[in-house]
Amino acid sequence: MSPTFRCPSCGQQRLGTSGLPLVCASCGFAGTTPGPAPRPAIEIREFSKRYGTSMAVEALSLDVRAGEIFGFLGPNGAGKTTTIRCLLGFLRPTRGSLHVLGLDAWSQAAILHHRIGYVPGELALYDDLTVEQLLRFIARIRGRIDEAERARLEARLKIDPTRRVRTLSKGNKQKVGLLQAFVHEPPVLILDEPTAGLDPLMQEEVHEMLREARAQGRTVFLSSHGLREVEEVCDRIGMIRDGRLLTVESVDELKRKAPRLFEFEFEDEPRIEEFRHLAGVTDAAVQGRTLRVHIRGDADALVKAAAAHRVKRVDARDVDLEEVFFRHYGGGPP
Amino acid sequence: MNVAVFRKTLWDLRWGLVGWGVGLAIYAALMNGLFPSLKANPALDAYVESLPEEISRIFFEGGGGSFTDYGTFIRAEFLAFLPLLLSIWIVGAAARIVVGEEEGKTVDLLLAQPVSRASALLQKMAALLAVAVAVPAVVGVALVLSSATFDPGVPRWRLLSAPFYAIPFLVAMEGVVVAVAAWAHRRGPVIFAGAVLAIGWYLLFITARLQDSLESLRWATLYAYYDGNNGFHEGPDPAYWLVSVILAAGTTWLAVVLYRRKDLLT
Repeated sequence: MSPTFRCPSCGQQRLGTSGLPLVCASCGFAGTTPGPAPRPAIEIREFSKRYGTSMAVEALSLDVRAGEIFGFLGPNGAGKTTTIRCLLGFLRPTRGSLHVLGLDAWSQAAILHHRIGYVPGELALYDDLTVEQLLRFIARIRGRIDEAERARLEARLKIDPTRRVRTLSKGNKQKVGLLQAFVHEPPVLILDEPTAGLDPLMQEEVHEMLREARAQGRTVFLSSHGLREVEEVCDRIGMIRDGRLLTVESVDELKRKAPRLFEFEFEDEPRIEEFRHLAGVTDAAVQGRTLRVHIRGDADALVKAAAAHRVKRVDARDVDLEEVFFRHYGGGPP
Repeated sequence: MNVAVFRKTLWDLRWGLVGWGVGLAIYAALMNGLFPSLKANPALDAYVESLPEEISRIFFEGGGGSFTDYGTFIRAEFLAFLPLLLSIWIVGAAARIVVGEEEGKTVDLLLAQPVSRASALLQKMAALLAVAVAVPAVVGVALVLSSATFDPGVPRWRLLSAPFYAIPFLVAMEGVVVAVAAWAHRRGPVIFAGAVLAIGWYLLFITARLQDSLESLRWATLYAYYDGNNGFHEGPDPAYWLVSVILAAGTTWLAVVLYRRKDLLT
């Protein structure tokens, strides 16, 4: 017998099947029947990895939803690559578990790899093979290759399959790495610095490929140092430092919560004390007649305080993700 | 059955096959080219008889023998060294195809494909074994062809098959070295351990042959099971093969277990 659900808008009772979309016959509300939430594409639970006496990742828990592009950020040595290598089953977690598409990343790695496309951070290909031979080798392991998709990607990424791998530039090798990850159209893509070494035009092409993958319902786990890249393509971001996850938030939310930057140029020299303790001000600096203030939320108090001076110029802008990132890590660029 | 890794490894080992096959074939031909002049020189036997017994034991088991007998000559001057020489190749090749792939970081590309670690390792070992069979085959043919100008006094099929007696030895050696490679993260320690084992076993084997008090120690070396089963004169003895095969099976199992549990650090 089908369960009965109540429309969250008008309260009418109706029959339905758990988890399926419905449109209420009474009020027209469109939604999804209550039911078990779809399982995340990637589930990491209390994952820790120790190398000898050094803890590379500690108690990391994270979900990546199916069909999203998830950015994984952190400075060098933060534990990004260790996490990715555990997701691929290259490293055994010291504690906790990592599941991709419901399969255990360590014990079911070979089965799982049918459904994962991977670009390593330090990509190494077989130098003595041509691109064609390399792709045939991978196709033989996988059992099949979609030749039409391969030809399409070769054209899109501008890859010459007759070239020997050792003669390729870093950027061209990276394109081959991307091709082998995308060509079997996996539901999950795990990409460690996928645009490293690519020119800006090709980077944009790869971003477009990522957006297309998301539109097809595929999941992307993306590690990158390119903060603008992450800002441009990711839905959510996880930030990791010293092996600990600092935050997981949507890009929009992260930017919304981030302070805005106001820059005033006055006719006279302002005193920092006038602004430092205003409501919402997180940071203030005076240089000559210029005041730079980071502020969260309402800027009313700041504007009123600035009005006590003659203002020659004012600029206001949202800080970009790069600045948010540096604030999290409290230092210079990673 | 997916044998893509086997085929790729075989391709990677092709120059080793050519190099070692041709090199050992030339060595075999040189020994055969030398034999007719030795046979025509009875003074050599007198010289060998004048050697101290300990020195004589290095060449001839039990201390007695003659270089004018082809079987004794080729066994002492060529076949006895065959497993030692091929060990050098197998140590390098095993280190390269297992740990070299980690050092070169291509292991990420390989194991990101849907192939289990056990399958990848066993396919690599099978390719190494295939070359380990092919090299003695080339050497066997070289022995037969280069002895065409004289009568060796033994059937040609024995000449052809003589290098194949090294195969159980090589399979066991491969198992041992791959087990070390499955544990290690760098080629250096694998080559070091393999070389120490190959040369250490050989020296122990020779020492045990020279010293009656150490005689039993020879059975702790893999060379004893090759030498005891040379088959050139007496024909093969499966009991000796069995020791090598058991060692190969045990070390292969260990290699698979270690490789499956290994953290691929790169």
